[in-house]
Amino acid sequence: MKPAFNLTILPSFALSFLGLPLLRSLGMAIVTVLALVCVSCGVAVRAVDEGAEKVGAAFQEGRRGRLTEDEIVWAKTAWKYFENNYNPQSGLVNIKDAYQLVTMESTADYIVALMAARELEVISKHEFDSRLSLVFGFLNTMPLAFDELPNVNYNAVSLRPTDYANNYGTIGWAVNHVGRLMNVLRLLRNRYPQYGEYADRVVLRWAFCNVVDAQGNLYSAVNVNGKPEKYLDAKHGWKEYTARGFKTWGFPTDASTSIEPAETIRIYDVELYFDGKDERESGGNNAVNSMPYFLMALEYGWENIPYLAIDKRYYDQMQAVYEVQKRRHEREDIFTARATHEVNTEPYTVYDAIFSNGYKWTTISSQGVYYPFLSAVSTKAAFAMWAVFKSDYTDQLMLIVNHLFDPARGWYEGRLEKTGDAVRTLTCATNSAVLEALLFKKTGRLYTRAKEENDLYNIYLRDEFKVISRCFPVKPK
Amino acid sequence: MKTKLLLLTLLFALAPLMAEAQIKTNYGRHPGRNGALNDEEMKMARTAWKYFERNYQDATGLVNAADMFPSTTMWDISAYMAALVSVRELGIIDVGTFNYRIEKMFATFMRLSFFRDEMPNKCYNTITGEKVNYGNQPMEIGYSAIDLARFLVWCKIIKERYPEHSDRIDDFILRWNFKNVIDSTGMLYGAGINEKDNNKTQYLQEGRLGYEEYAAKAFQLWGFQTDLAAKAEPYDTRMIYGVEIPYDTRDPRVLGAHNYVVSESYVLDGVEMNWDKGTDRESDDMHSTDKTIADFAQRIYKVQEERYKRTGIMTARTEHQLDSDPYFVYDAIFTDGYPWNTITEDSRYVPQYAAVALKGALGLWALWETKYTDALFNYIKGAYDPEIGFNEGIFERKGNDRIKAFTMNNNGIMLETLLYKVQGKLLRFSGRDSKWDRVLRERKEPPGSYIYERQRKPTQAATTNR
Repeated sequence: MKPAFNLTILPSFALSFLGLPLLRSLGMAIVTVLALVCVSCGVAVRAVDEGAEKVGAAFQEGRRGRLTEDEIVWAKTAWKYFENNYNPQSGLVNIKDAYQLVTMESTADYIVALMAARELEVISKHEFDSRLSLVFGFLNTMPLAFDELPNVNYNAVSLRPTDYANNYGTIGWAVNHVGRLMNVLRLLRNRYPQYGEYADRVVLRWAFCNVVDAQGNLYSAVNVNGKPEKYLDAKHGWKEYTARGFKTWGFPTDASTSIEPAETIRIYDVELYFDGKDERESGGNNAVNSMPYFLMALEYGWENIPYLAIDKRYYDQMQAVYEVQKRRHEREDIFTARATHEVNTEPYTVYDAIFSNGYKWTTISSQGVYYPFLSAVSTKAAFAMWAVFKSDYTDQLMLIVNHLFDPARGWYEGRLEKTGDAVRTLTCATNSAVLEALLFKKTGRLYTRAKEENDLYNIYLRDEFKVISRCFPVKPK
Repeated sequence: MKTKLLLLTLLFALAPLMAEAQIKTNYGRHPGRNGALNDEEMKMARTAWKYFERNYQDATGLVNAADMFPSTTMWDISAYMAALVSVRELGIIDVGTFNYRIEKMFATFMRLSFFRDEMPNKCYNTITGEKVNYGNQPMEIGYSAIDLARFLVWCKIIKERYPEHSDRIDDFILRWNFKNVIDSTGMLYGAGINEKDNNKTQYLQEGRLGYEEYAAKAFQLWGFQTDLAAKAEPYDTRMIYGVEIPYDTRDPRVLGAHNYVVSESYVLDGVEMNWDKGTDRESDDMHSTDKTIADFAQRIYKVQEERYKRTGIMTARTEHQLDSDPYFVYDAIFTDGYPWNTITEDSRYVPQYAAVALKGALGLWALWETKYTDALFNYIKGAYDPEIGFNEGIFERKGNDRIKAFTMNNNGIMLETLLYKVQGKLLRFSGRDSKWDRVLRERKEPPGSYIYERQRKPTQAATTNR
């Protein structure tokens, strides 16, 4: 029950190709076609429609160019969040407005925001350097859970590990958070090689024996009586994104860059993959929504970079996740850009999904409780989609998102589907995503290749005495 | 009786030569398995009938819905009526016994106290005939449109087949009040008690895809207007093993009612009504006039066969009883978002209770003559207690132990399914004028019964009020 790709979404790609107006684009397209022809030479046995599918995906160039005046205002507005929620004592930024807690994910989001603010000239190189220095200082001194990996939460002022209520204590690590930070540190150290060694040291502090196994399965851990109890974690969507983060640092990831085990669901004739592990037995949820796919596109582009290759079906899914949301708007007249988002009331975080736990267009809490009135157009999903897919749909979508901000405080989480009212919660994740999308528009994908052979990280990897006990992928001298 | 049976047997033996006789007796070719029962199948019928002998209560003429538990519902009573017709037609009981049992039961029905003088209560004690709750304690709890609908199907089958019982059946149905069970748009409603609102009667739309259409057609057999409920909508499909399985899209998380897709509703619709429309009086069983439901039934079969082919798990899913807590599960092809989901009424996921339900398996066997259903038959044929009847099912779990519950519904459906093999569509129209028809024609229905009103298409204005 695992169709490898989906023919039904082909026509729209074909149309977007024909609709390319600019000679520049056409030129790029031709180059891409040539590249693809050569790629497909090596795999001539594959079906014709599979080749066609890849060509379709390859024409996604996204929204590129200089920022307009409005867009510069959008970027500056997003940066307001990082000014208001900056803790001068520690140099870190709150995960939510006025909530003094950070995670590795929110710290990664902050680093992305820093890069974008610098390159979009919202802040000076000096401010970038002084803020980044504090982040490095934290990441290279923070107490680790069980001396292995970062704890899930830290107090944003004292920088001590905390639990889910921000009380001091070690609760374990979350592999998705670790993966997000590894991705972003890779983007950072390749984009600004001058800071590379300090980013490398962050990762070199950690121990990987319990977070990734030889096959590339990913594990989180919880604190049970002072000891880590690890469990297989990460489900399709974030799993592959996380695994790619590990892969950029040389770890084996085959089991997790594959989308298996996957099941499929068809919505508006679009086939979508979802995690095949039954969440009724494994717990959690199998939410399919925008962010892992669109972040992957913003950061690594549409090309499945060969030396960082992941399951190519993930690229089909990136396309399908866009297509199905566009079709929902076409067929139901409901603007759709779904992502996990925050709200100001119970249950605070909702998994606002295209599909999850058996249902399409569902909105559930971490306990699986259904909250249909919290379904929303997510600001971060809308911005990411707008950047990655240049289309009439994302143009229209932006018209209902582009005023969802408080000029003094930053961008709101989104707009409620059922009422049209704004979700006036402010988060690091959303404001970071706005900046990341705008940075993508200016510079293209965030990942840049860098010579890695003689960087600090690789020097360490060739010295087994330094890293073998902590399960790094040792390299020959 | 004996002579009639002999004649029937003779007719079957000579069927190819006697086309005319075939038409007369109406046992033309029908979908699935055709022909007289062989020894093994007759033995199965006799074993299933054991249940009804053992659980018969002569005080009321009713039969316990579960072994040795003196309670029943209108749904389960229908299974008893199905069993009675089947054993009479198969020659297991004689006409005298049949008549005695029907008369006894309908005498009880005429004394039956209804839920708030409206409709038969959901449950009755089979010894005292009192209204009870599901724990068999005396009280009234409401009525179920779906249970009543199934009862209407079997009343119709019996009155059309045996004119001597027609009046007593009509007399009982003329006691019912149809005001709230069908609304003016043709949707079906059950009733319950709203404890939060001064114990007022609460009417809630009842029926989900499969059962809703079956029930809507049942009311149509008696002339009622249930057009909206008879439509398959609202539904969507979920692809399971390459088969598009239709399911009801009314959201269980919002409305509470599960949208289980199971074999039973489609099997009963096929066996009793040949997947025909409720208004269809045509006799050719090789054409089903309710094309949507006939198509859905094919998919329901196909996906279960496909599961067996791909996983090796014998599959015949339907709701069924258990011999211990939680006692009852919706053991579905799809429900509440998930394929092959097994849940309790309160939505707990209990995959350990997934089973081959015997009534489901035999229904598939009768309606689809395939190697897979041959295998299903052989798989279930030994799952009985010679003193009690057939087990409810055989668990899918390791060990494939039997469900040690014995029920009227299971044994009754097995019997009617066996009769289907011999006769095809069980509902046979006589074309006779009945008391029901005369009463309605002369507008002499009991005052306040709403029978006349609910048989009419609503005017534009009427559709807005409920």
